[in-house]
Amino acid sequence: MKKLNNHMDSKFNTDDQISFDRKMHEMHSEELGLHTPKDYFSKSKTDILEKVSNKRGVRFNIFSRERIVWSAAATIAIILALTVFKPNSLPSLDEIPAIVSDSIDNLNNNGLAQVEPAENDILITSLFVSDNEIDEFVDNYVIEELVYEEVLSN
Amino acid sequence: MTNEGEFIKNLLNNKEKDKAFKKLLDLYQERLYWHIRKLVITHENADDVLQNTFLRVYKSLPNFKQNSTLHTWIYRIAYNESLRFLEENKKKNHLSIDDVGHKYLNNLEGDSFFEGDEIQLKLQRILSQLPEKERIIFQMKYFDDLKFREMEDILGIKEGTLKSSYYNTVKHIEKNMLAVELLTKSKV
Repeated sequence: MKKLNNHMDSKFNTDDQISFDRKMHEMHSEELGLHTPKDYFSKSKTDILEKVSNKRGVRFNIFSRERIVWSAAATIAIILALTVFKPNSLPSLDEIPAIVSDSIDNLNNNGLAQVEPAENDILITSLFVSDNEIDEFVDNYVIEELVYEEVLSN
Repeated sequence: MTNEGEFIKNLLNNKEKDKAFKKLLDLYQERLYWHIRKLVITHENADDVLQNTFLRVYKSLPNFKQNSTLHTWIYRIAYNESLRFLEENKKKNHLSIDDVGHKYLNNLEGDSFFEGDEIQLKLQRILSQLPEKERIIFQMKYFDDLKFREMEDILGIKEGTLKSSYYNTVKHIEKNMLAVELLTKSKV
């Protein structure tokens, strides 16, 4: 048996590695009859490095800074729009009977839930918003509504 | 030249990571290939498992707790990846434990990168007849030249058990190989 010394306790030296690899190749070839295709190791090295860099590339794209910035900007815009236009979207007293009638129709529709487009937007938007932002939004909204009602009642 | 602590630091450092990983590949690619090849037999399978091993190493580096040496940790990943591959193959081909030795030889003889003469084929036959664990222990000691302490970490088998299994297997192989040599000489 050839002495291989397959240990790297304290130093990592690539020069020793070359002779180690050569001995290992000879041993497997001479004693077990195992071979590899020509230039296999250099091709395999390129393949592995390529796969590793692809993996890193995909990760970078998913969490890219640009994407995060755009998501945050879109979220803030939607939250602002909801905050500003919400009072205007409140139904007037005249519209209430029509809304009640729609609700009854929905209930009669085999009990299937129907989500309004505006609700869809809010649900999708909520995916991009952190819990803290939602809490902050709800707090602000409640305070504004309460103050608004208080002012109106006076 | 660098020590293991520094090398690990470089592997975890975003700026140095690529260069350090390339060095890791230089150091371990061939020795891991041969370690894997003896477990999964054919070159094609060894190539797949080797790639998976390095991808796993790259992904798991941030979680490396340094409870063992980097050397042992990398071998353990290669060994586990090979076992995972063999298990999947066994399930796919509905193989029982008794079929494994037979399959070992079939795979070997069907591999275009196996060119064994009579003696090499005989050694392979003896290895294929060994229980899987004993064969792996013998190969890791004899061909990969790993320390028993390192093998204990990789395989999770006590050092004493590894030593006794290895010496019994060596005796078994020597006895059988001697018989083959005598047979070959008598033919000449």
